[in-house]
Amino acid sequence: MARSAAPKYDPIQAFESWVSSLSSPNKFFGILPMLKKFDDHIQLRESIIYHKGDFSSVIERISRIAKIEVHNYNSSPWLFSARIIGEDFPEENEGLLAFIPGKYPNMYRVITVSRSLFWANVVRKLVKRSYPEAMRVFFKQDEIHDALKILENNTENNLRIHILDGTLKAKRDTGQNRGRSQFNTDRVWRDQSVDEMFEEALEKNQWFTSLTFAIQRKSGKDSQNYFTIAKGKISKFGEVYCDFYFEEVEEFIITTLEGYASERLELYQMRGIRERDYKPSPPLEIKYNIDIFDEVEEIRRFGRTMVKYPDSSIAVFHGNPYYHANIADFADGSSFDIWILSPDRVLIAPQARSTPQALERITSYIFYQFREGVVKEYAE
Amino acid sequence: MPNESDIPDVDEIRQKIEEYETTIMGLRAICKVISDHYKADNPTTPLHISFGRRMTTSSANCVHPNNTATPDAVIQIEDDWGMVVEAKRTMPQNNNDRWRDTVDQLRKYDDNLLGWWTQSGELIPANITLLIDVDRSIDFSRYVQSLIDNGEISAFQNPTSIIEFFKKQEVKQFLHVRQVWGRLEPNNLSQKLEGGKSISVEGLIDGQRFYDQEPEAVEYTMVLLWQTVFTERYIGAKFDESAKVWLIDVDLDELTESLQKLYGQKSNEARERTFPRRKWIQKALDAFVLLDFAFHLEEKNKYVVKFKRLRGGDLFQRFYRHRISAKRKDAPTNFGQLELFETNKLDQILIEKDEDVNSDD
Repeated sequence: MARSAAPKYDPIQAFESWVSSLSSPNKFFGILPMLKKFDDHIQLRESIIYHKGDFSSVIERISRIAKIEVHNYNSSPWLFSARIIGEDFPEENEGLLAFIPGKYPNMYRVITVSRSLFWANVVRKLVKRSYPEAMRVFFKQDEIHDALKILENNTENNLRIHILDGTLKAKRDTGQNRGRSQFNTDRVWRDQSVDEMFEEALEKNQWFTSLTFAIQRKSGKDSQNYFTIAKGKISKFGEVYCDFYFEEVEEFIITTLEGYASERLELYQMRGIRERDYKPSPPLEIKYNIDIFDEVEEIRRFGRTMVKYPDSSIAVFHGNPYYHANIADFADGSSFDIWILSPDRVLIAPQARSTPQALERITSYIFYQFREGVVKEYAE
Repeated sequence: MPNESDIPDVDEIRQKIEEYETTIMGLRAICKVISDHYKADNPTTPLHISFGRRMTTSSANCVHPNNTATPDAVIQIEDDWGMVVEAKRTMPQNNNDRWRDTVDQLRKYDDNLLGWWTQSGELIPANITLLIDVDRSIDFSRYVQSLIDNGEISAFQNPTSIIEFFKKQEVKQFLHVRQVWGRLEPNNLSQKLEGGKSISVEGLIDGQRFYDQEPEAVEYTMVLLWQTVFTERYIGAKFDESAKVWLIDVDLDELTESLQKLYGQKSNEARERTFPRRKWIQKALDAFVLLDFAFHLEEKNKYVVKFKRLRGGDLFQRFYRHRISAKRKDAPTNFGQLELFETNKLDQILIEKDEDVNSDD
């Protein structure tokens, strides 16, 4: 992409220059040490996605629907220049994105160095629309907590990780629900340790939609004061940003979260009855650490949640005292039976077709809209 | 004016579907109890199970000599133990001695049946079990005993039992089976079942959605077709811009075979029944035609499904309306058209509502 020469260090231009000089996408992570700290509002932004096949063809198809102009950059199959069509601020809405293999099978990163406008208007839109061929993964609360702790445990002694702000959701009391969202959303500004922040959220039964973390350095050897040297953001919907300490964020945050998602998606492989030569898979279970369905109201709430599952049709066989419904996903034709027969778990029985993408979508939806649990194969 | 009072409401439809699924689970529960009983000591014990196997009656059969009997389940352990099971989830009241047919069905199995997985095809003695809903189990047991006591029928020669089944909610959902009448061999299995066994419903979830009886509510088959087969097939199907539907070509025979493989039984062995049967699927497709979700081509076996993304409401609520359409179609009024108009209007409202919910943020 042609850009006029800037008098000072331009991180966007530097990134574009480095990345376009790479002979292979696998060498991408080698450029991270060469990136300097970014100015405000510019960040290295990554969307972690699950994908099998040829992303070029997907992105070409999606761009037509999303009204985004996309071209292969320098004839590279993994670098794309993109811009929104017909916007008033073309420069803010155009940029370069790289499609890089992650550290786990079928996991990829869509990466830019950009301002938020390009990311929100162009990249996120492309990624969201590329479902089901490519799907952004979901990060659970405990996985985000783990990743931040791993980062903290692997930084120098005079550094610490604090949470600066977060968007949190919490279930609204039943009595308040009439005709309203089931959730309250709060934005909080803090400067608090990772453990404190997550413990507080747990106590209040809240979960993060996104949070901003800071890597902070001690002012002096004996000082109790810290100052921020790098900032980053994690969104539950598979996105991580940062403005410095790129290698550490890559190794300890992104790779950790990608690993959890990969493990889950591995569990979702080969679940459709047809692809298993008509021998049904054992159901998958979402296990909760409490007997949440002891209260019939929670079964009803689950039922109300599933009726709102986007881009799907539902047939409810039974609603109370146990729950049984069938959900069909319009995006790729997958379908599942959903059962609640025990107080502490939801069973998902894959039907004729059941793709990993559709399973990730439905479990993420249950995690986000109802409650997070541990997903595994059900065994008696 | 059509009388709609004899059309069941959607909750009754759901009730019938639950009864059908519970019967399948009851059959599976019995198989599991027997399998666990025999495999406890030796997990590799050979086990045969069939849901709907054609057995041949002998010339001495007291009901239908030299004929075919098709129990709902046939279970065999090694070459020396077997059981035929008849399942009755719903039983009418015993007006005009209607229960006698069921008794005769059991007596038909009280024979040296041929068709077991043995060299000779025989297995003596084979157990006979009637699996019956808890609401009728005691009354029916008394009825059978009274027939024997009054000399109206002779005592069963083969070990015969009545086993009741019902779902019960404890900490979790269980399916409970309990022998309430008769005897089984071996004695320790009989004693085990007399004490009752609770099987976790979670452990009974399987791909099997049909057995050798037609579901009473066609909506059951409609939902399975729509949700799992048509939703899969509409991807890549031709989109009709004017009608805003995807057109899916359907061959009745191919569709039947597909559902047999997915949710029923399909076998090339002559004794094995295949289900769901073609006419069950045809009935479901004809119901879609009534709802204007399909049309029948001149060629006998061919339909075209008009697939819509039916968002924002329970499919049973939609599909059960074919009963109203059928009723009104028969009536000499224009209610049929009115119903169709109302159906399309409601669909449009639901689709628009759902598209709002799903709009990109």
